[in-house]
Amino acid sequence: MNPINYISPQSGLSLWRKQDSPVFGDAVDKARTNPLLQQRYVIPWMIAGLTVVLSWAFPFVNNRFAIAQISNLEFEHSQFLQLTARISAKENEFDQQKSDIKNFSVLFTSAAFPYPFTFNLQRSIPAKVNLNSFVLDNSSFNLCAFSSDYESLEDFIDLLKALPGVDPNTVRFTSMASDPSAMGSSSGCQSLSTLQPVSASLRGQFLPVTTYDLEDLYSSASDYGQYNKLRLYNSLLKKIGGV
Amino acid sequence: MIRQYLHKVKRRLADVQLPQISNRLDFSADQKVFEVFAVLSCFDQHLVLTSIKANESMMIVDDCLSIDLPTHLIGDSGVENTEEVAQIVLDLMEVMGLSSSPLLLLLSSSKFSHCSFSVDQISSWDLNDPKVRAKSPFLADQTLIGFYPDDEFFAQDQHIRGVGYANSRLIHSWTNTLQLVDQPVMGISPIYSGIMNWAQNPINSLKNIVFCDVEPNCCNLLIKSSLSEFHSFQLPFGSSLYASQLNRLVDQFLKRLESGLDVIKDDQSFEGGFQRVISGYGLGEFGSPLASSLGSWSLLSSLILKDFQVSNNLKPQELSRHQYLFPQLIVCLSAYLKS
Repeated sequence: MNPINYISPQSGLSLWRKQDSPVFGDAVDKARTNPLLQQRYVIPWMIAGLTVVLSWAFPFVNNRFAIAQISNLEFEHSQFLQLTARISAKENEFDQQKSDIKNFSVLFTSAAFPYPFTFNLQRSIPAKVNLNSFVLDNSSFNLCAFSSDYESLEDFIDLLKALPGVDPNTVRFTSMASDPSAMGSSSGCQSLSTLQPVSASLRGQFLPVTTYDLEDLYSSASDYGQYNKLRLYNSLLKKIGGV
Repeated sequence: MIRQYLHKVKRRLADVQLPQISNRLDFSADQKVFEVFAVLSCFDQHLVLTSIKANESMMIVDDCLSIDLPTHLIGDSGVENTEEVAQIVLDLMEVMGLSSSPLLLLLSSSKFSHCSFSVDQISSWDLNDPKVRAKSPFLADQTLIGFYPDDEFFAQDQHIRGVGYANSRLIHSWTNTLQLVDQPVMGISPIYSGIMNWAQNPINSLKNIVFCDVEPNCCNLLIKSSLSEFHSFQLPFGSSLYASQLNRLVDQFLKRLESGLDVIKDDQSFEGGFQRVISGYGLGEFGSPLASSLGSWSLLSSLILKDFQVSNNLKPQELSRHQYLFPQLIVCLSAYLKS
């Protein structure tokens, strides 16, 4: 029984016909039932002998065959050139896409340094410490902190040095004093409260952060919107072999 | 020594696919000459081209390449950019060495519908008969109808006749694409069409069969409830919801499938026992836990095991993703070759 087939007779498609098939078609069956063709030993030798005789008798046949082969090779060569041109065009397109992704990469990485710092800092401020001013740029931070005693500020400095995303070798406190008059008026970090007389001005630099580090951070911050976007971006980047 | 040389020549001829010549040189009784077919299947935007070598006694899945296309090339209602898709198909065929092979196009079962009518119900088997047209899930002016069996094979003493429905836009868009591909085409069929022929072979003809074709976004059920009565149904969930290597999720999928099937059987008043057969591209997402969780379901691959082989040339990732699709391709191609 015929399977369901939605090709209409007027479709204009060239249809495969079973009877023309070299394996399933009628021609094969006829060949098998023909007693002459069942002479499996005779016919191959006959064909071979005939070929040898013909090639001696009509050398121009070979020449024509060679010409046909050359023409085939030329055709295949032109096909090859076309294919090469198409591959080059695709390569250019791929490079363009890589460049687009590189631009896209800036969008994610421009905020990469301060984000982990602020995220971790807000969890690390000791109880007695207050921050007066808080200046961040793309690669460094500058803080002004107050406390009721030196120990709390020292704890705070230790914590800053231990923060992930901060280069501990670059953390410096430029001034630390309990007497406001001991600090220069130009420092801009002076406590006016008697309850928190000790102040310190702190500077430091961020460690380079990759988008993979950010992915972990967004995940631990339960910021799944950002996390999913970044995960997709990173997996895309991995697939295409980096930018 | 001469005999060895002739054997070597015969093997070389079989390799380069010159069946007529190698037939003449065949000194042994077994048939090792194959014709190579290109079977193109499409599920939503997932395009799979499979190379199948076949002769009268055996089919070998030789190679497979798949590609996910964007929706501006293949949309929900068919091919949106025929030139581009035709070029992609030609490129795939060239890469797989199928440039001169006949092409069979099998489309997702979810794009078609099938039901059966008692011959007494329909006064005339006309494409415009309102009772026939009423069952179409597509808009009236976008419906293509096919009778099964077609007029050539329909005998007057048959009591049941099947009617298949397709979206005309889908079929026309693929027809236009195949015109640009310009290869000999065997047919454009829903992927369940092979199952219908398989379910009517002498071994299965007396059984009631439920066949489930699992896709990532839906499950397509084809129910054979008598000798030649088929009905198709669709369940609104597929394997992607349950995709995992966990036994627990595979069990949940099969439970939901069972309950969906029970509802359909109650609604349609299907009675008696059914042999349950499952297959489909979507099953590839379940991985190894599937085999141990199937319960009363039989894999189509295990039922047609002796009819086909999978070649060692196949890439492991294509094999694991499409291993449950290949049996469906085999039964479809087999239906065409036996018709």
